[in-house]
Amino acid sequence: MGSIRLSGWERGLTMNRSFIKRVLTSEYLSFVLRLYVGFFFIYASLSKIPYPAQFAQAVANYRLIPYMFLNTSSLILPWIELVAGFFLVVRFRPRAAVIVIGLLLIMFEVMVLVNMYWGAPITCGCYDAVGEPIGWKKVSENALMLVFCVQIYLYSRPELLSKFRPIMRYQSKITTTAKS
Amino acid sequence: MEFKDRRDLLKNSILGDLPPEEIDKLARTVPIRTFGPGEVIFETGDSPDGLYIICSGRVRIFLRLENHRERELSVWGPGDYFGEVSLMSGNPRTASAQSLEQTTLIMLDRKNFDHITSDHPDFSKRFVREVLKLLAEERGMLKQDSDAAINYSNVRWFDFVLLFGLSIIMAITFNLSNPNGIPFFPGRPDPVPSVSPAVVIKELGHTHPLIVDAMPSNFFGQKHIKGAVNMPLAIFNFVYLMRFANKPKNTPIVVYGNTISRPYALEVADRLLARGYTNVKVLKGGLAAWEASGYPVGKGALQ
Repeated sequence: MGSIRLSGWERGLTMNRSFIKRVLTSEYLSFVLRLYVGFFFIYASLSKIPYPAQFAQAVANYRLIPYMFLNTSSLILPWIELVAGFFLVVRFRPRAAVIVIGLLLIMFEVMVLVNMYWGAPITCGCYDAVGEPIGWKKVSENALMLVFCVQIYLYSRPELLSKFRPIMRYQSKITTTAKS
Repeated sequence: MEFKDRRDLLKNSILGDLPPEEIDKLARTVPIRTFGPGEVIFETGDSPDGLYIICSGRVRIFLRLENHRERELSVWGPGDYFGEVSLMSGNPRTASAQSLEQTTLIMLDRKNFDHITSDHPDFSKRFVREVLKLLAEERGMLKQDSDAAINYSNVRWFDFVLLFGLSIIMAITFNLSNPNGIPFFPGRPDPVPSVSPAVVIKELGHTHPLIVDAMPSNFFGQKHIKGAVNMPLAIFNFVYLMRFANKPKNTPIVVYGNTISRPYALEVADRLLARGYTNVKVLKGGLAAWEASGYPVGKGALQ
């Protein structure tokens, strides 16, 4: 009587929406993104760790970190990227790791946007000394990575079901019978 | 299955304590059911038809969870029984059962079960105790699951302490052994006398001071004081050879290019002083002050 009849197109749209929602909130997507973000940060850190002077120069180009803390931050930052990326890949305290990575991404985003506003002719310094110039491409890459982090934070699940063994009483019964 | 086998099996099961005549009666009347490997015996939500005692084979009891996942609660073998919880409560099945291999089961229906429990209170008590024990064990397992889930999703301050602590320790130890290591806190370059843009402009006509831009070349390319020489530290020696080697040591030199992150101008000025130049000064306020005073700036091409 008062029921709403959906046309085929509307039904398709509703189904598509629920499918997209299921994919976006899926723990399998979370699993893939977790490995991607984790390995990405490990990769990004590995090019900076051996050559801290070059990385310090890249950081100095942003003109936002005071000279006193330039070397300290250039030495520690790549290690935070490495450790957080590693935590994420091996799923050790992954939520804390993804929060740290998210905060790093927000920090990078602010630094890039401020320098774009200043019109600084600098390169990103994200992976190596040469690097690509900062711009909207870099900003959108960072934003996308941030979205990945939010997905991981919300939908990553622990693998519990394989962790604990079920109750198996008959086996102990068999062994006690064999013993007696 | 022969009557004798059934009787022996019942004797070795939970019903073993019943009087022999009761067991004989049951062995004569109870139905036998067979299930192939992987066959579902009952599903969660089914109405309870009876209690099953395993004659041969193995049966797993599990919960069906979201996303086609399962939580295995128990695996039972010959002599074990299952399906008792729903039979006692009268509620639908709370878990599913599936045979793992060719399995033969004896089924004790509600009528027989009610009859045994009402006629044999001792058996009843023991049975209830066994069931409660099993439920407690299962509750313990589910607690383990929920503990792990909570542990996984909880973010503690200690996680951050661990992550940052580990990073700092690794950074310190690696930097100590890295041949390309840098000091954690860089020394401040020695102070150099400064000079204001207005004075520099005035002197340009008389003493012709040499203006040196100490910023990296990409910044120089974007904007610099007109007529300045770009001399970033990275190519200091090269620029020195090209532009300074034949200049007298008392040539007035004005260096600019300090930033919050690095005192490029001071670093270059110190190097020039070390090379014996006596009249090296740093431009007060740098390029920004120069430009603000309306003095000429240049763009592009390296000098």
